[in-house]
Amino acid sequence: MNRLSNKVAMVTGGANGIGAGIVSLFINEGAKVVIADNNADAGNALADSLGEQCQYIYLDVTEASAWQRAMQATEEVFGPLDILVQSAGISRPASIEDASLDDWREHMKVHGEGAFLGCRAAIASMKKNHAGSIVNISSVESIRPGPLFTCYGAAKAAQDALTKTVALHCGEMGYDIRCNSVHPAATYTPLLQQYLESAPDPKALEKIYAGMQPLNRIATVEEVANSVLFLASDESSFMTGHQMYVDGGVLAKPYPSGQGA
Amino acid sequence: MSRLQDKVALVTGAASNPGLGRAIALRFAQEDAKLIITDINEEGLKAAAEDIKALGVEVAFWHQDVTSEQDWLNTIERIETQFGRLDVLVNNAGIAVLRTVHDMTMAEYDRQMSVNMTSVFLGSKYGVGSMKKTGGGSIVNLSSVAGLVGIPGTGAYGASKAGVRMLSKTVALENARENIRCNSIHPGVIWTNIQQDAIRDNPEQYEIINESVPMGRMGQPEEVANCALFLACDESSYVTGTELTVDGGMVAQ
Repeated sequence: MNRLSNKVAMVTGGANGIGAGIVSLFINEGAKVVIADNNADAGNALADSLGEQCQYIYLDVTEASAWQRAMQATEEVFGPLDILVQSAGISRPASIEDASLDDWREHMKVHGEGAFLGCRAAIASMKKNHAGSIVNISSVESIRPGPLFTCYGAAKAAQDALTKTVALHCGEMGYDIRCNSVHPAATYTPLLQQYLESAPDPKALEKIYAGMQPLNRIATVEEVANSVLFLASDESSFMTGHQMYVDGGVLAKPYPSGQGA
Repeated sequence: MSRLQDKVALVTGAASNPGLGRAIALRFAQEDAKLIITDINEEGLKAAAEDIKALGVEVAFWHQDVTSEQDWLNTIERIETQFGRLDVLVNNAGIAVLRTVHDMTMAEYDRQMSVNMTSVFLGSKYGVGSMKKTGGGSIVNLSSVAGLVGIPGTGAYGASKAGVRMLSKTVALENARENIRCNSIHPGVIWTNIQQDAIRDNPEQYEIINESVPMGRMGQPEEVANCALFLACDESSYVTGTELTVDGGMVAQ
């Protein structure tokens, strides 16, 4: 219940899905949490439900000035940052023949530029406390992308390389700032639920998805959030530059995980 | 609630001090696991058991040669009789015979592979058999960064640890639908008794080793123990067939 006591955390994309699960878990573990999201309605609603320790701050991760404002506001409310979780993301599956240049640029902007700006802003704030942990939410699609993850897979792979360079730089500089990535497979988010429910037979589609996973089920948001908690907390104090798979064994398999995935 | 409440955990190679097995056992004890620790070093094992008992936790400490199939059969049977189940198995026992491949004798090679890899085969074989009876469990295998990248002078050590990594994945996939998870931990340079002995012989290496780690220092056994705890407990319920690298950034370079 107190694995993050007195820590100040920012979770981008924290208003919904995996990000929201991380926010709730961090609050339960005693952190002060900023939900940094471009969805003000959902962000405010979640923050209100979690009490004084949780605040919503507007953030468009692709805007350098928005990062500056969000970080300044965070420091004013809670103090310098200890933990940054970059969970904001988009995904529009399309093959190389169908994806547009705009699709490509937008994925690169959110996952690549967004993570770049986030790491820069976080390091500047964390240096004030001489310590911190950055957790970038990546995906199994950055390691072994399916054919429809043209833009998403490439953008997440770009983010992965950034995770490592940030880890190495911080080590070299003698900052006690760690940087790791978490790679979930299919996770039971509201977005996935919506997708499953839009199918003619949602149960059958879920069964197909579950069947692709060695564990024969889709991950819960809590299972991904638990891994993020581990990397965010001091328990992982000797881990940096690591890619942590939370994938039910998918990447240990020798063959693709299934149609389109 | 403690993170290993009501779980029965076996940690092999728990005698060395400071050592990973001992640190893992102590960390598990703090989370209220029911513990069995084993080793061939009975004196060290007894000392580890006393440290654990000092935390107010019951612990069984038994002699076990992890290269002996009969010892594995006996150990698992005894756990089932006395504790009723096995929830967590940490295959930690290991040795490092550090010579170049060219200088290594056949006997040294056999011993290296037997203690580090055959032991994990046997532990997985009988651990899985026990876990299947009670609805699942978590196997945590101690590999090394030497199982991920080549390190000159490690002879067969790296091969044995790479073997542990792949055994972990195979066991994970073979038993995923039985609710048995299996993962490997890859420590970098950790301040254990093995490391301390090496530094005593070559003190000038201390700073050189620290500088080779991006975080600028060696790791502590407790930092590896926290990773073992995460993989052992239900928080990692969707993590299987993968690695945790605890190396201060060494293999990210």
